[in-house]
Amino acid sequence: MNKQLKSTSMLLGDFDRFVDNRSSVFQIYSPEFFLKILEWHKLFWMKRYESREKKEGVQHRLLFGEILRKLESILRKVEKKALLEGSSYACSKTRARLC
Amino acid sequence: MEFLASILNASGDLLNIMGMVGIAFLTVLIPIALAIFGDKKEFEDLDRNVILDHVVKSRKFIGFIALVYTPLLLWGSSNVVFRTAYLVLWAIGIAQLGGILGRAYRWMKDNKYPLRLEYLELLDNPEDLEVAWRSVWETENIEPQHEEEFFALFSSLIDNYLQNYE
Repeated sequence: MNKQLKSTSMLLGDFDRFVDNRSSVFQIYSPEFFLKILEWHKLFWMKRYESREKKEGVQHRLLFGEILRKLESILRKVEKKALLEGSSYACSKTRARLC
Repeated sequence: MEFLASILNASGDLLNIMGMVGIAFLTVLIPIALAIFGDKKEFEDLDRNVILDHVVKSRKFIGFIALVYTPLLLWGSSNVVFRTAYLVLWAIGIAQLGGILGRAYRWMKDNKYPLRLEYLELLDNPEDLEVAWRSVWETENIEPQHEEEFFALFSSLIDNYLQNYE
């Protein structure tokens, strides 16, 4: 199980590293993308909390923390791109439609 | 039935035809294999893995060659029952080589995205997964439509890992 968590962390790390290579259309206007990142952030946050409650090894909590930091970094980069490209209004509107 | 037995017993012609068909398939495959490994700029690692593991199926390739040529080696010392079995094995080997030719044709002629997506969908080795997905995300200027397709696959993979963790 630890192996899959490490793999998840590695995969999300690569996605985060190259998220600036993604098109604005995909990053800003794709509802699936933004929703999924938020959903994963919530689920991994809950998993980290459960892991603390169950007193699982510190290795698990560190991995969850690492994954959460990568997801937060993706969200920060997307928001920054929307602001820099003057698409923040469109971006907020897409997000508002999702909520 | 008697007709089939007479063909299988008169080994010379059939054996020659089987050998020639095998050689013909391999002769066509060699230049095609050289052509599909041409210079690449985008999806470099992913495409190399797609060609090796999905188009050519390099891990099973020796097996396909054995399926085509082992029956020819054992043909002379076998009876009709074994020859029928060898003919079936040879046909399976030829069908597999034909499958490689078909996929190589699709790779060279058509849009490469469906084969890339098929490969990513079937992939389960964690090391190959990391290399393949890194190669996808580091590629710039992917059309948004394909970005969506890649992301749909990527998210199903992460969701799957999350479910397994539960």
